[in-house]
Amino acid sequence: MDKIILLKYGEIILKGLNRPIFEDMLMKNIKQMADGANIKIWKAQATIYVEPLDEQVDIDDLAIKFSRVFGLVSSAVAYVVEKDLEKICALASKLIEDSIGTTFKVDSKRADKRFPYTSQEISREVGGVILDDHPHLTVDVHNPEFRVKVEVRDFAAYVYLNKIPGVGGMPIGTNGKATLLLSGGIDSPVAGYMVAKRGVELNAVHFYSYPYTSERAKEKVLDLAKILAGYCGKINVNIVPFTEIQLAINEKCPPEQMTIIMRRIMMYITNNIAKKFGSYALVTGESIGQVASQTIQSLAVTDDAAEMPVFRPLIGMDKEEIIVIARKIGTFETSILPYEDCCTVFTPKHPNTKPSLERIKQSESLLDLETMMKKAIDDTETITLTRG
Amino acid sequence: MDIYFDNSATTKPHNSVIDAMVNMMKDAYGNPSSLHTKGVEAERMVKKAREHVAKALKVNADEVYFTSCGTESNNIAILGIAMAQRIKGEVITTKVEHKSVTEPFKYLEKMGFKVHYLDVDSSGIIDLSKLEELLNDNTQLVSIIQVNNECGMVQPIKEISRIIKRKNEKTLLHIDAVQGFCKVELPKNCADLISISAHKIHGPKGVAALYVRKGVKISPIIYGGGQEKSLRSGTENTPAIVGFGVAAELAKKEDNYNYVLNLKNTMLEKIIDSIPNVYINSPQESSPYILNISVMGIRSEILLHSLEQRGVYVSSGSACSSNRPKPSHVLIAMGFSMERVDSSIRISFCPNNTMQEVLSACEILIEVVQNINKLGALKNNG
Repeated sequence: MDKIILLKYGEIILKGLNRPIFEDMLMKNIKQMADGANIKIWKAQATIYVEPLDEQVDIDDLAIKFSRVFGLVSSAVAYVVEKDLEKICALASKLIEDSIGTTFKVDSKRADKRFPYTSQEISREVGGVILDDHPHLTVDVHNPEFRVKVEVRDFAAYVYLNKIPGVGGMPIGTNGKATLLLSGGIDSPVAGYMVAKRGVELNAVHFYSYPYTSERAKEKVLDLAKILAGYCGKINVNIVPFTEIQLAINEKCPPEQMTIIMRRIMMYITNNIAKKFGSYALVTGESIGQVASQTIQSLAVTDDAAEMPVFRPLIGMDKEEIIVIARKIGTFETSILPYEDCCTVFTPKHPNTKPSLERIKQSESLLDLETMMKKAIDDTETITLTRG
Repeated sequence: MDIYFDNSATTKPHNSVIDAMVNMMKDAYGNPSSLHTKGVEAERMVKKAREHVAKALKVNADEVYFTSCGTESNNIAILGIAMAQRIKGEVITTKVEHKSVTEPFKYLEKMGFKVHYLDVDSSGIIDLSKLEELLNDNTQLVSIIQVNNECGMVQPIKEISRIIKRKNEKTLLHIDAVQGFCKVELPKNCADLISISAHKIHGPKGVAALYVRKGVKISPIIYGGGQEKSLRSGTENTPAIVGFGVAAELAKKEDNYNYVLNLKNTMLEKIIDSIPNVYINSPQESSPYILNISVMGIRSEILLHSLEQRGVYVSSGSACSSNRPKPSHVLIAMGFSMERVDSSIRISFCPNNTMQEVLSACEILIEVVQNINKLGALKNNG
């Protein structure tokens, strides 16, 4: 029996004349996700079809992978059958032999209006045959335990049982580039995911305080970036050596200003790297009030250091809400590994929660920022992570 | 140049160990359970290895069982003895054991055994009179670590053994000798069960052994094809077992105690002379192979990574528990302050280390500590 993957897209359908631009980018991202598998891919009637061209292709695995492509709302492995009602019924009845549950519903769609039966008629016929063949099943149109989907389209009819919900959003590459400040905690990967989901191509910056944090902390950040790459396709992570700058701040500036000055210097450096990568915005995982550097006052002082707009998709979320997403996208387990901040030595006991920009700038002037930042940027290591 | 001072975590395998293992994989790859020549050949090699290990431990070869790691040896010893008991009685251990002993005992507690955890003094040694007090007719098992993996203190095994046999001759004594094997003399015939491991004596990882005195009733915790006289079923890890044999044979040949002691004492003197604010956590009479210190005000990880940058590898607490940011239960049991526990590092030697390495490492350590201390403000913030 021939199998094919049917992919449905969501928001793009609402686009007007520029819709082909989005569709083409989506197709390109799907191809990239297929990672060289021998497939034929085409679109028709707001559906993307993926047909495996040889036996090597693991179609179920591909369908799962495609469900992580931004822009798609569902992915399903469907069986292909002639546009003949009797054959459709026979196939549907055979497919449900292994399905779990006792109640079902048939959903039909007739995209090919030349087909002599309406969708209601198709559903009724298919349901009838299933009931005849499987006496243990009953129909429940409101809360079925499983659904049988029948689509009659241009070239053939398709029958499938389970569709995998897609991640939604917009195709990556249709909304420009942004640079994510990736720490290794729970929040920043989620923030990156949320922005990437809207079609933004991401690159990331991580500040590395070896030997005050361990090499494993860096490994962890790369692992997180790799998980994000599973959605985005590819992410460049810039590892910026930050120890010398931290030591200098620690030496010259008042301890209660340590964190806020650090955040500002991170912004300066990220700005610089973001420009190199063609980004138009920065992304952080901050949410109001979570830590001292995330009060409105502190955020305002931090923002002053960033030339580009800083997007904080988690700004109004509670930790619990962030964790729900982190679990869903698969970064949570990695984020909670205990290697980050193996040293909290740079965190002041009583950080300033209401910093004044003027005073912070005064303290900053004690530092030879230009030289230090140039060195940090020159010594930055760029690591490219791809999915797989 | 790298100076590897983390030999209690693991040691570098000897070249002859590696050669023997490669040979086992290339040529003598048979399964010892097979009836044909290939099987017999592998069986013969395993037998030879068992003899070498037994000799190094001064026991009979038929009392040595190969396992996959020290943790497994400890688990089989403790859980295996417990499962072989008809009633759930009392068992005794200490507060300074390796996790692979502490955790099985916690499990026994859940199973309904009464578990006693002996306190230690500031040198990490148990109170013998307290042990004597706890022993009674219901005591089924005592498990004690010979050389502690974090601080190197050596428990008085001979006295412990004597007290136990005098109070209740049926009580079994298990010794976790993973850090002491081939390094610190273990009195002969003192224990009913002994755990040892290959990779602490320049053998491979993935193999260890458990000595079980003949006549001791013990149940397996892994069931299967009946290998290792049914105590530890599963196809033998023949290359690793043979590597273990070679390592044990080499370790037995030479007595390095005084050589290593000299390394440790030199290091100790230099540290005490040149680093202010240092505490020596290893007691005076401890294993020459382990030196645990705390440089007050410098957290373990910072010192560890700073030393690493200069090519000196040490450990913060014990490597097995460093992945978890939990303070060492051993140092806490010894009654040290949190600050002291948080800044402890373990320097551990092997006979391949040279005096030159010790001197360079001391220089580097002193420099690194000075550099970190220069950032005086750090301490005030933290």
